[in-house]
This record gives sequence, structure tokens and C-alpha cells, in this order.
Amino acid sequence: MRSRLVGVYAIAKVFATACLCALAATTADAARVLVISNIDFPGSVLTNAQGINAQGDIVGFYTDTAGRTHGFLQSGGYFRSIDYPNSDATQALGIGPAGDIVGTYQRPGEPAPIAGAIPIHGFLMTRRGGFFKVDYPGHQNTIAQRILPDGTILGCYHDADRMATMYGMAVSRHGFEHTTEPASMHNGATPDGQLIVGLFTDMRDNRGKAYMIDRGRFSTLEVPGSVSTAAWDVNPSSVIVGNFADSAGVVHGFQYDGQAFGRVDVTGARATRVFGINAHGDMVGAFVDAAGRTHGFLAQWVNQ
Amino acid sequence: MSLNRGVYGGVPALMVVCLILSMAAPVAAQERVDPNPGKVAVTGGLDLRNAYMFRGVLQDGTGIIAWPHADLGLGLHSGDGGLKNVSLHVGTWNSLNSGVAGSDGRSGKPWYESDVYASLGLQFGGGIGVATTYTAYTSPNSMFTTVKEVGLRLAVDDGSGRRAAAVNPYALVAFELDTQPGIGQLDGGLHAGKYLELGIAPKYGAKRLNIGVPVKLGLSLGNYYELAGKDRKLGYASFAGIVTVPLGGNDSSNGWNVHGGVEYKLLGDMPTAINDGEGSKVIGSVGVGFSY
Repeated sequence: MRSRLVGVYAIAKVFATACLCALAATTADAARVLVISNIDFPGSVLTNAQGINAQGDIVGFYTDTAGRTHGFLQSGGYFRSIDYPNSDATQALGIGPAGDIVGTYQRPGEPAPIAGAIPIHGFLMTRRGGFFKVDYPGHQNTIAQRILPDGTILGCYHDADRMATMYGMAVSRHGFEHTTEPASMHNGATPDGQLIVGLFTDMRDNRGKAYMIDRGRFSTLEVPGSVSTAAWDVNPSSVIVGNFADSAGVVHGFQYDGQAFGRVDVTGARATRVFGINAHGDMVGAFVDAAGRTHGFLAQWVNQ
Repeated sequence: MSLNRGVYGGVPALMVVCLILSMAAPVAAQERVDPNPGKVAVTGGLDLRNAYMFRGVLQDGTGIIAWPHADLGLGLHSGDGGLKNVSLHVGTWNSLNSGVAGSDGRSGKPWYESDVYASLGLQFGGGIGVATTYTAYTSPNSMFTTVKEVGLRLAVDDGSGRRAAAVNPYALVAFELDTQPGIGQLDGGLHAGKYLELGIAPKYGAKRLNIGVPVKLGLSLGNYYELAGKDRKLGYASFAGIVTVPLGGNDSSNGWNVHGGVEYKLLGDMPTAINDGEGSKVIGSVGVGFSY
């Protein structure tokens, strides 16, 4: 693992109603700071970290110098490349507590049954290396983004576009389910599956918003002052992480603890995105540096 | 995973066949009429249980799990010198699962595991036995990649020919072969693992039933219980109680038995993580077996 400390960033910790001031780069909790470390797959030209479990195993994807995309697992400082058999592009997106990994792959030259680009398939890789395809029945593309302790897989399916034909979905022992909200994607859930978070495009105002489905009740979530918000994961304590774009179009990460938003920015980055959070509050994501290169990162709370 | 799977401490496994069937029978059993006086022995059975853990690592804790198994043993040598017996065994062990590792999981197929093994067992004077086993652990429903392993077991039968009760201490070391990161390993880790198991298998043979109280400790000698890239030394500790009832009683020449037991496992860090954060597990089982 080539990991270096690139910055220390404190997240606002206020306990008032969510408001813009909660996003200020200050802290009311001086005892804890967020330490951010780079994640770059050796030899890659792009690395993006997407998921982290309670053990600290991190999954994501990278692009090699030939332009091919591979999934990766970083465990205890070691990297392992993950490629779905006979695939052209693999992305590892989520990892469960037992080490099962979900993600997507594409096969070179595979014809699209409906329209558009090469189909995207979801996959499950068991901790011990068994691969399984995860395809939502009757639809061209499936994205398997997250896996819960009971094996339930969350994500979305879509056909020729990512608007009207895209729906958040869950695959469990009981079968396939999907939300009725179009242009949506389930990205994370608490271990019991009672709180699901995701992203969707609100057709009423054409804005990208985060959503929560709490015991079946749907509600939206937006970072105050943002022009778009997306939720990408939630941990067992119901802390939600994701991204938002501010009025200037700059993308930042955020975390939301049910009371206040905190902004997550890698120092000096053009854009920061948070995609995963674990039970300890450790976060993973990706940022674009000043030169335009994308790196993965791990953000961990440490005591000062 | 045929060796030492749980309550039975390896009843279906080669090592037991080598070391126990040939030399660990209590007095009552030894005095009965041998229904198979030849050099070939066949054993097998079917066990049902509520969970499957291999060396402490949860494989499936849902649905019903059935373990059909069979073993063919061939006596190669028998003598009165220091080397009392030499035997060769081949066998198969299987796990059929109705839960998430089987028909109710991503594969949709119940046949989770099929193992084949071959073993050479040597029995010396003083009840000392040594067995070397090669095992290929395969998954017909592709839930895991094939694990190839060589194991060496040293056991002492301290009850043979003397009394109905015995402690039967043993030690097992096993080495995973032909691995790559995440491939061909129990823990799905980065490096091939080396495993150590220390145990006792106390047994008491009464007129109508046999009671076993096996206790064992599973440890990593290196990279066997990797978690987040780091090896964890403690795998698990197991305490079990088993009752075996030979059909027709211990004095009978009938080779069939019914058995049942309960096992309590205390788990180390890595198996706990696999077990959804729970640090212990109780497993119940029942089954039938035969030997001829």
C-alpha cells in the first residue's frame, strides 16, 4: 500500500438544525480530527475507493496504463486486483462484513439487448473467490453497489438511459425488489435494511437529490445551499455520507448524522466525493487533485 | 472440509478412520464379533445440522445442512512389531445446503461442498498413530475456490484394550497448497495458511451407547485466519457432547448407529467477523452412520 497523509480536515460538528454554517471548515469537537490518506493502486492512472467494511477492508476500482478498469481490494495495506472472469471492465463497489464483494463488470463486444452501450452486469464475489452474476431480470444493466450482512445486494437497474428506466433495487433471498421512484439508485443501508439511502433525480424540479427510505417511508435529503446531493452509504449508526455540488458547481463530500451536515474535502482537491462509510465512521471516496488526476482516499477519525 | 468439522471431531474423516476405527475401540466393542474380518473397511453416514463451520469459520448458518460421507479403508500391513498397522483410505465428504450457501443463495444449487481425500495411516505401539492426508475441498455450486491441503495428524489412543474410557489427545497441522491472493484458502486471505489443531476426544463406551466429549483448539501457525490482511492466531475453541447409539447395542455385530450432539464454539477475531460479529455459536446435529 502506498498511502500518505495528505491532509487533516475537520468536519463541522454542530447540533443545530442543518444549515449552511454547519458546513464550515471548523470544528466544535476539538478532540477528534479527520485524517485523510491517499489510496492509489500501484501503477494505476486512476483510483477510486467505493466501499469499506468494519474490518477496514476497502474496495474500489482503478484504471491501468492501458486504459482498462479493474476492481481492487485493499486489505491490511495489501492490494489485490479483482477481475470478473472474461470481463473487460470490473469495478468493485461494496464489501460486506464477511468479505463478500459486489460490483459491476462488462464483457468486450457483448451486444446490448435493448440499446446503447455494452451491458453492465452486477456481480457477487464471495470471500473465498466464487463469482456470481447479479442481473435484474428483464433489464439491460444492473449495478450492484452494496452488500448487507445477510447477503442482500443493493443497487439499481436500468435500460437505455439512467433516467426513466433506472430504479433502485434490492436482491435478497426473497427475490428482487425495486423502488417506484424513477431515476433512482439504492446505495447503502443499515445492516438490518431498515434505512436505505440513495440518489435520484427529482422529476419535479430536475434536481439530483439524496433519499432515505426509513422503514418504508421515502424522504429526500439535500445539503443546504447545494444544487445537487447524492447519498452513497450509511453506517450502522445511521450516519449518511455522499456528495453534493455547491452553487459554484464544486463537488464536496458530506456526512450527515441525522442532525447536522459536515463537509468533507481533501485539502487542495478540485473535487471530493465520499462513497462509503463503515461502523467506525471511517470513510472512503475519491478526489481530483490540482493536476486533474483522480485518487482514492481513506478518511479516519483520530483522537488528537 | 472433511477433517474435524464439528461435533464429531472428524468422525467421517480419514484420520479417525485410520486412528480410531482401527485402534481406539473400547473394550466392549473390541470383544464383539467383527462383521468384516477382511482388510477392507467401509464407513459412511449422513448428518444433519443447523450450521456449518469449518475450523471455526462460518460457511452457512441458515436452512438445513446435510453431510453425506463415505470412506473406503484398506489395510496394508498388520504385525506385532513396533509398527502395528498401516492403512490407506480414500473417501468423499459432502455438504448439501438449503440456505444461503446452497439452494437459497446466489448459486441456487444445494451442493455446496464436495471433498475428496486420500490418507496413509501408521499405527505404532503404545497407541500412537500418525496419518498424512491430502484433501481437495471443492465447491460444486462455485461458492468457493478449491482448497488443496496436506495435513499431518499425531494421535494417542490411550484407551485401546485397557478400559472403556479414553482421553485420546491429538495434534493436527495442515498446510494450504497452490494458493493465490483470495484463491484456494479458507479465509480468502492474501497468503496460504498453516493451521494447528490441538484436541482431546474423551470417550466412554457403555453397554448401549458411547459418549464423546471432544474439546479442541484451532490456531493459525501462519496466515490461516487473516483478517484485514493480518493473521490472527486464535481461530476457535470448541466444546461438544456426542452420544452415539449402536443399533443393536455395543455387543451387536450390527454396523449401524444413530448419533446426536451439541457443540459450542468460541470464536477468535476472524471467525467472529465472518459470523456477523457474534463471538460464539451453538450447533446441534443428528445423524446415522455405518461401518463394515
